[in-house]
Amino acid sequence: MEETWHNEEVQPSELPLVEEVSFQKHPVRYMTYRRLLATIFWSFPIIGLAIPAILSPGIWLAYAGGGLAVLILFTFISIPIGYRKRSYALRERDLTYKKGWIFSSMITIPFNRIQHTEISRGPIERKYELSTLKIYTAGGATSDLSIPGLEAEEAEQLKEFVAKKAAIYE
Amino acid sequence: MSEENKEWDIHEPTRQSYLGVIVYMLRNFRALTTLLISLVAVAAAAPIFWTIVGIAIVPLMILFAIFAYWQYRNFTFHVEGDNLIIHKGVLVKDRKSVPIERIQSIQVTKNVVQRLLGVVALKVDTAGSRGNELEIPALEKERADALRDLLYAKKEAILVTNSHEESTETESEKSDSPKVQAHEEESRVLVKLGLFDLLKVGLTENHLKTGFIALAFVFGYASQYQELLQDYIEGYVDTYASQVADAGIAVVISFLIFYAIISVLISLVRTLLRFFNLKAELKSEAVEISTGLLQRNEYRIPKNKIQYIQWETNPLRKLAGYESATIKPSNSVGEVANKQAIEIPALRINESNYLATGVFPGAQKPEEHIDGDPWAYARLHAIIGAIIFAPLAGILYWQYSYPGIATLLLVGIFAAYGYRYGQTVHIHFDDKYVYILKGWLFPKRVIIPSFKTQSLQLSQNIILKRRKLCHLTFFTAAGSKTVRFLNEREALEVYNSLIYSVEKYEGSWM
Repeated sequence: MEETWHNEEVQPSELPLVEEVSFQKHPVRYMTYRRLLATIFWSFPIIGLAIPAILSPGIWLAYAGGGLAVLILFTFISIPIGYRKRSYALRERDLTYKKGWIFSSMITIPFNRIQHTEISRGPIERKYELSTLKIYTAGGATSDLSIPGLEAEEAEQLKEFVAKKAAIYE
Repeated sequence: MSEENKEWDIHEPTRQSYLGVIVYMLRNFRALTTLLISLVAVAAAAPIFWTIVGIAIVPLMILFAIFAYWQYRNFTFHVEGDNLIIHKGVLVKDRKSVPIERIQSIQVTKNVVQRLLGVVALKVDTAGSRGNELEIPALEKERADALRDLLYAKKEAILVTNSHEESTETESEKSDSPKVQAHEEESRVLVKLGLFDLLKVGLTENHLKTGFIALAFVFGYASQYQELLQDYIEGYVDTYASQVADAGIAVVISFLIFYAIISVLISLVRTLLRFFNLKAELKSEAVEISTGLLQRNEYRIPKNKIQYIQWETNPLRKLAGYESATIKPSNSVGEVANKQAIEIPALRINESNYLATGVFPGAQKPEEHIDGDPWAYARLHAIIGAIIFAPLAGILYWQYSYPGIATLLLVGIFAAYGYRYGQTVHIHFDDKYVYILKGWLFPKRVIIPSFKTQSLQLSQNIILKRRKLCHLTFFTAAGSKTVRFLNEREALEVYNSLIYSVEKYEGSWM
């Protein structure tokens, strides 16, 4: 146990409040990364639509193309909105991650419950020098936290910090 | 038995009971049942296959026997240092090693075959390493018990050694006489179910659910052989389909009656098979449950492994004065959350309380609580009701004019049910325990020790956000529990207070 830990009584009104911590944003190029991902993703249905469009154009093309355009537009609009909602916060004893616009969520993992941490970098992430930090608890796959779009260095530091804290409080 | 035990050195690779050969052989047979069934189907279509199968069966049996013998021969287990080591495999040799301190629970079970042969299977569950669950399928009962006690004692010793280096000597002495330690443990019978209790349990099962399970099973099983069956069935269908269509409503009603009878029967049989002669004991360190008719299972769940207990009941079972409890120990990694849950199907109120305080010392429903928003539940149910009944109302209106609209009343009933349900949703919390209560007709009660929470999640969608409502999810090492439609501010209160309880808890959660 850490030496500086005191266990004085805390009134409910004095509880440390997670919503009042200052939250860190991801680097701006995470948006660029997401846009590239979205472009790759949507290029498949576009190609899928383009082939029959050339072979047998018709009125259906307007509907299908219109629908697809709305979806694509929505994806690209939601990238910056989602980006603004995505942030993490560190406290002495836990880590909190917030994300989501239409479906938003906030998850807090106390360091003394962390099993292990991991950094992963996919090929596209590497291009943008971004990393994903994964934090595993014993709470099952749904409670495992993955923080994408961190500066490679930041992710490394964060991992060190979390691992150290997890070791202290375990 | 004691002499045998003295000769048996656990540090030397040991084979299991020679009866393991038979166990393996039957297992291999079972694995091939699917193949055999399809062979029979093919054979039925072309009689020449009967001859071929008939000729092939003898060498096949011999091959099976030899294979089973090799499986038995190559399977050895022993303890090396602080690890339990198992060697096995015929074509692919496998060496499995499990650190004894990682062992979560050890179960001694027997199925019909093992019971007839007078052997038991020893199953070792571990945490943290996927696919590393070990099973020794055929051991004499005494050897299995001795091994189990020895492993538990060794684990205890290792854990103690890790925390106090100086006490190594006394603890390792303990591991030499594990049986003594096991017997000294204080125990109290929590509940014993007789035949009459089981009858009540069986009759008060959620029949709708068992019926669905049975249907799913039948269809799932049938679909495997669909292609084979299709030819046979199609002939009949052509003949009878038109008559069936004529019978119409009579068929539907008789099917429903048939379904109800089958469901009740299945419930009864399932209950009898699973819970025959169930006995639950509360010991000072663990809960021990033995249960089952054909497959007799003995579970030992160390108290500190229990993540939460859930009580459930239904109107019928409530009438009989019972509720059922599910004990959830921490999962091995990669295991389905429900697989390890252990159920006690019938507990009286005082037995329930005894289980709660026995496993969770000082457990008492905290005063402070927050409630679900009944209107949010009503809205959700109204939406679900509308999705189901609005198209129906439309069709009926089109067919029978205005009376058809009356169907929409069902939406109101749905909403009212939702409101009533929402009124029963509560989270009671303090720094020691969280009680989650919900359900009107099917009330549920969950007790989670606060410090066993792994992480917390608060989620909402854009509509809930505007209404200042949210869902709160408690993640534990035995799965998660979500409570929906809570006031955002109140939920944050629980969130902050619980995170604080977890962080200030100094012991280990396992």
